[in-house]
Amino acid sequence: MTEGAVFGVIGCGSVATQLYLPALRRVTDAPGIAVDTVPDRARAAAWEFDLVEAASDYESALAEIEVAFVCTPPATHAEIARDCLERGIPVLTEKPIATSRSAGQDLVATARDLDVPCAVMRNWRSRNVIAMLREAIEDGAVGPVESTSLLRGKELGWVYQSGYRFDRDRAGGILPDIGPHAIDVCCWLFGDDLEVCDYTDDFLGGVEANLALWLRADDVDLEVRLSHTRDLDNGFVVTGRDGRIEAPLLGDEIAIVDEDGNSRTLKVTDAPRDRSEVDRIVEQIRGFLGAVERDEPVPTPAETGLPILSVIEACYERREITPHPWERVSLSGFDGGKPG
Amino acid sequence: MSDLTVAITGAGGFIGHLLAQRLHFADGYEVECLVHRSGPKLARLARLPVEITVGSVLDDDALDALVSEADVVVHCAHGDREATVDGTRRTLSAAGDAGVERFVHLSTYVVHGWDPGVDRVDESAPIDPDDESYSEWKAAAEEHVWQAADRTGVDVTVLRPGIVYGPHGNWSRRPLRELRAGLMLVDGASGIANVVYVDNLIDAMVAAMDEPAAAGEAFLVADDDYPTWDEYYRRYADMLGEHPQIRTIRRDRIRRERARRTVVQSVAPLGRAARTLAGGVVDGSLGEAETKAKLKGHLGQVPWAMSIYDRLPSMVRGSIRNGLDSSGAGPGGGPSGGRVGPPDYPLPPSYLADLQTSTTRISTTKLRETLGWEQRIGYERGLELTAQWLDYEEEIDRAEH
Repeated sequence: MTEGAVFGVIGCGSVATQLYLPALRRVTDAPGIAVDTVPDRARAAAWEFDLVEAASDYESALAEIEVAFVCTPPATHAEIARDCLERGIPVLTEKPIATSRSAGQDLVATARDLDVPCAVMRNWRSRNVIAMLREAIEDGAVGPVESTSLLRGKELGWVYQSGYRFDRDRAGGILPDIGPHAIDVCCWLFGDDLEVCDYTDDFLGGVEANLALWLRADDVDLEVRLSHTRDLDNGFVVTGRDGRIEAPLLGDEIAIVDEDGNSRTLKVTDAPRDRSEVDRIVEQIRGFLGAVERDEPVPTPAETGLPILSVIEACYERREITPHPWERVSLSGFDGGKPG
Repeated sequence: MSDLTVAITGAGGFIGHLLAQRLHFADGYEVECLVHRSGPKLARLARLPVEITVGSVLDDDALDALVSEADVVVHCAHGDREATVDGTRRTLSAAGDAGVERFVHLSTYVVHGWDPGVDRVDESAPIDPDDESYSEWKAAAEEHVWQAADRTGVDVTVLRPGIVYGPHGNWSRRPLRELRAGLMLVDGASGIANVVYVDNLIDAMVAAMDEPAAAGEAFLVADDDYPTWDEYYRRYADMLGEHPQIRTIRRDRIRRERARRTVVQSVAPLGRAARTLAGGVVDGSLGEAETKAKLKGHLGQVPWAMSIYDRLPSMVRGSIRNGLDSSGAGPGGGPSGGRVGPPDYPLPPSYLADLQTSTTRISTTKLRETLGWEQRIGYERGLELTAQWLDYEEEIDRAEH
């Protein structure tokens, strides 16, 4: 980081204190400012990570901040990031860049017009297994790809400070929460032009906890299932003409299984093994700061978030309340209990 | 029906979240929910657009906030003894202070004992919990409910359901896990499983919220079907498909079998230690460091062996140390060697033995006559819906059956 450049971490909840601030402290000794609407959270973060200041109003703090990291709940990402850009402050925001495509486009246009770097965190792309999977697909390890499934489900273990993930008014729900990771990887593997073929989730008027999404990219059918409540077999299965690739969501190995069921394992060779999530955030912050300090291309520019917002919007347009069968039978027999 | 504001504790749980769902989609209810912690239960509940507070029934401020506007409190929360007993007392206190009209307390039929020992148990049976944590805690919590009714004037209604099964229920997920691990039934599990499908229970809970005649009363809740435990488990076995053979054990053998396993588990490491000595020290095929590490690993599994070692005269301990510890090898040596046989089937705990052999049926006469309750979802339909949920949870694969 530019020597002496003041960084600001806006939003001091779990993602900031568990990932961004530990990562930033490995990247720079520059002075930092912790900003959170809850003053105690800002003060606690400032104390723990040896920052020079704690603030509760980000707009005031922007007068001193020279590089910004936005870690607030999603509903405020676009607004805060744009305020940063308009003051000439480069900004790296947590996903998603916005909660609507139009707000995302506005943010991207602002960054372009003002020529200020604006990036979005892309944590799954930087995983070893995802990079290996992409390389294997590009190398034609299983021939032309025909279909892909992605499952990601585990009982929610993350401790939430603000609870926004369960608040419809603050863009909660698993689609805007985990969806950007999953959709981004689909874009990275198969291109940005994703068509939403079908979508279903378990929304009952609040925020969805489980979803199933069917996409199409050129000749590839993709199925994505995400869950906050169920343990699923987490990983990708990419099926091609000559076999399939099985890739977990974390780790350093993928398996390639040919048509006859013979399996071979590919192991990571050109990246450190067993990198932690903080390790990967460090790499992305370094890449972002390279763009800020040395005018290098932004590794994960904000515009990479636009196709994701398109998919999310298309999903929500298709959504209707569809209780599970075991829920429907209970509600329909009760007076006034028919949902929707 | 007039609008009722209903506050639910334990609203992220199996029964609490389904009650919240039922009330939300019915006319005439506002729902306020208390959930203990964020996580999958909160994610499940947050599917509904209801007011949710994350907090504990041991937190008076959280309880005051929850019940401040409530007409009815439905208390589903439970946990360890403190959460179950003191949490009930605190929730009652908050409800009394807030002027709540009705307090519906979710108890359990096992306050009458895991095996009440009669053909048919009704609400007049004595509260007689066994020396088991859950039943005793729930009985103690009920005592607070009745005392609070006298003290605060809040109308209380207690529901004592049987074995609640259905989607999200432990009594529906657990049989599959037991079957996968090797299910051991007691005396053929010919006792009566007083099951109640969860939505049938919720029907009773909703009826109890504003029925005047329910004030100050307790109600047992069970479906009409009364399958045996053997039959109940075999239905899950059918859903699961392949699983280890279901075995049965005579009740009088459980204690002996448990003692036998304790001895085997204690002696086996010593046997391995002896083999290590024989193989490593006597014939010299193992180095000292490896021998020492293995011995420590074996003996470390036998607490009483270490206790005996500690009581040995220092000269003897020194000799052993000289024999075993002179290599300077660090910690980390674990047990090794020894044949590992197939795992023993888990032995049923005593409360399960009571349940599986009890021939007591729950009487629902009072529930029907006072609350007008009728079983809405039958046993076959309840199991079918449960199977659909288990398939969704990927606990079973229905396509294979």
